[in-house]
Amino acid sequence: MQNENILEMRKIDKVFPGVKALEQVDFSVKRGEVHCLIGANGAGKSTLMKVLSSAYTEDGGEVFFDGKILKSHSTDERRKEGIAVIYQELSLFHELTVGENVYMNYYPKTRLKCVDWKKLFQDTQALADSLNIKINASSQVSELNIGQRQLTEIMKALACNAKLIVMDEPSSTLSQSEFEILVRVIKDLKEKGITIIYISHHLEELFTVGDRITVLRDGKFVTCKNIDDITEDQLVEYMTGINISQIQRDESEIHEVSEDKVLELSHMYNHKVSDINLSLHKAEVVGLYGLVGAGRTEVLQSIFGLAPVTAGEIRIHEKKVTIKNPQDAIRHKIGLTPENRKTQGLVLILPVWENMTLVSLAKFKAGGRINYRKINAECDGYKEKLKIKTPSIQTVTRNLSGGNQQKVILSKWLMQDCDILLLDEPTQGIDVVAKEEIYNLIREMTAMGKSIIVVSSELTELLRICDNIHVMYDGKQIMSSNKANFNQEQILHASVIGRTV
Amino acid sequence: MKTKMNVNQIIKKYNLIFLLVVFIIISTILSPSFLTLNNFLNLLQQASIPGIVALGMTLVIILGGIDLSVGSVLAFSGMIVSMVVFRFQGSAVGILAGCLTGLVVSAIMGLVTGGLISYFKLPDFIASLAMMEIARGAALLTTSGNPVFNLGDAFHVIGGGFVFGKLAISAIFWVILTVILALVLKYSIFGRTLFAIGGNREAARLSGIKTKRNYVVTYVLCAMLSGFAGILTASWMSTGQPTAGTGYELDAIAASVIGGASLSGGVGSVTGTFGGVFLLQILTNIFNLVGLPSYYQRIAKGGIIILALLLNKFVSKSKVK
Repeated sequence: MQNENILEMRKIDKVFPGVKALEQVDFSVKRGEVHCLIGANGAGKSTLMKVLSSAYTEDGGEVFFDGKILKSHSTDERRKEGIAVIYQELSLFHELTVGENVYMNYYPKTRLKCVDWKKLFQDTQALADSLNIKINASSQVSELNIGQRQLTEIMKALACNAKLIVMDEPSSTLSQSEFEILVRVIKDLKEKGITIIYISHHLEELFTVGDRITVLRDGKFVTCKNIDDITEDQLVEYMTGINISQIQRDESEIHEVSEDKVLELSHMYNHKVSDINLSLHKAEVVGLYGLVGAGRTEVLQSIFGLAPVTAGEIRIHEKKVTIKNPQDAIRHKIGLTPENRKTQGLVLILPVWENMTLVSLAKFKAGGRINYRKINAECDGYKEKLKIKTPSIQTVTRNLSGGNQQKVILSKWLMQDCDILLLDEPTQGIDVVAKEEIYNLIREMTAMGKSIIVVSSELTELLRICDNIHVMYDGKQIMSSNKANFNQEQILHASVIGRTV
Repeated sequence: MKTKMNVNQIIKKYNLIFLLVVFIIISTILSPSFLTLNNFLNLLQQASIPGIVALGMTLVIILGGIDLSVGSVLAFSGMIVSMVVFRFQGSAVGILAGCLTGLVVSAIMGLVTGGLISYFKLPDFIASLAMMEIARGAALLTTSGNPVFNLGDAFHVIGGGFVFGKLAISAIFWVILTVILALVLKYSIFGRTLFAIGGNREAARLSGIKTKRNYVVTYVLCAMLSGFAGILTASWMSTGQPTAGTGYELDAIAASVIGGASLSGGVGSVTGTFGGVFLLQILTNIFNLVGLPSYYQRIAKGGIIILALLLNKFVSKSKVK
């Protein structure tokens, strides 16, 4: 029984426009084991799991589950087969009770075909008790902490008789004690013969919960090992690749960074990060690297007045400043291109010119009214200079591609003549050509004397454009490195295990 | 170089003009007295008060909000003006003091509604619904529900007077306010920020726009326009009527939407709303001229709203394709 494969995914291919997300991936899981699936951002873990749950349809390959080949591509069918996926961003209804969430779509009915509330809560409570979970079946999900919500998701999976449960980054938001409960529940599930696929960035965890590990890199299968036969260091090697791809760094392009300290954070704390120290010089590009949730965005938020600084200080041009809101930040010539272009960066229903002038509109005022001739001239100028591909500056911003939208946001801050630019994931979801253009823009901006902080999940990108890189892990700054001694492996290692080696 | 208009906006504008033309033609066929200068001026006069209320509503809708309290604020402001004017026996000082008090009280009500929404995060619908009840109750309370008569001839001129024969002063106010607000929306920074906030509040905030302050200012403006409409109503009827303005909020919303505003915010124009109010007024007018009972009017009004929106949808869709 132990050696039988409950799941076999054979030669799975999945292509997205321009990217091979999965290439000939083999993945097999034994019945009743905890199988860990790891890989860097973009390695294809989530894509593979979405193929499994049928959220995506594979372009090639076959999926065998519990002795038969899965042909149907409906998520509901897969759930009935016994495959349950718990996504990172939990999908619970916050205003409903635990019981309702657990039996959503499968409510027990009375003889009159009405919801049998008594049975609903009894069954849920029985389920919770069988897992030794302390949770009240009739309490509202919004009253639960993150750990309890996670457990509710697990109960939801069990309620529809899942044989295989996929947990995508279950620990990323859990506290240590919550994590211990999760570990215990996973052990219980295993004893009941339920198979678990466990996805995580945190390597130590895998050694606590896992039986076997499969590593993916760049959409390809790398290796599958027993947890006892592998070390942390080997794992990092598998994840990053032994021959680290050489980064083309044109040495002649290294520009002069002046001694002027434009921005300095000293022992800065906020709700998420602690003891951040970094300085940004004129014309310098500083990178913040780390896993999602490591606190990179939160550092930018404090600089831009969105998250109050709880201790320590921010200095601009060597003078201590208090930045309470975006207006203060803008007064100090700071600009932010937020992580989410569409919901935070742009007013999509307004034309390009209006987004470009969103911050700097006041400077186009002449004689008590907005001067549209000046606006048109300047926006057309930026459209040319930044090579923004749009039929006209009157085009509604929604119709532009991601890269061009990002350029519109950049011109918004350039028009305001910002000295310090905070770029949060500036190239996320942007195609390769536009990415290059953004890198060039960053270089041009530093040539103009602007200083830039970039947050990114793509290390190669940071290695290319930054003069200094700070690595963050769990709200702490764990490593700093300057261009002269960038070491990709070291940085990756630090960001994954949380300490330098 | 003139700023080119978005194709979509042009079509939406023409769409309203198209509807207006169709209605004018139908009305002319139905009643020979429709297409006369007298009737036209009459229409302007009748539409002016709901028209001024609708202007404020449009500002709020562009911002992404809704203000249900406009009709009640109109009534309360009207009652205050009437009582002050009555107390001062219709003297010039009394009229001035009355109008100022009415506007200030309206502004305060707008301040409360806007403040509750932006600083205390109450939903627009609920906060303004509460203010709708409070202002109506306050209006009724002033005189225990009785109207105030005998406001004097001087006061009647403001909202009931005419110049050049039959051109109503209230209509002139309506046109002037529409022009001023159209210019504010186009040429002032405050005006442009309304579109930004309505289009994406978070992006506006992250661009350093004072979203909360502008939200409150807009609600104050809307309430003051309603308050001003209240003064005109009391003046026109020479009566302070605590039940005045009932149902105006829905007419104002309808007119804004017919005029191209989107209830999800970021889209709308006061000139469009002007047309929307005019269209609804033509509808009332023609039913009166033909002598059909007002019940039909309401059914037709509902139909017009649906028709106008379907036309907008149809046009936007065919454009995307």
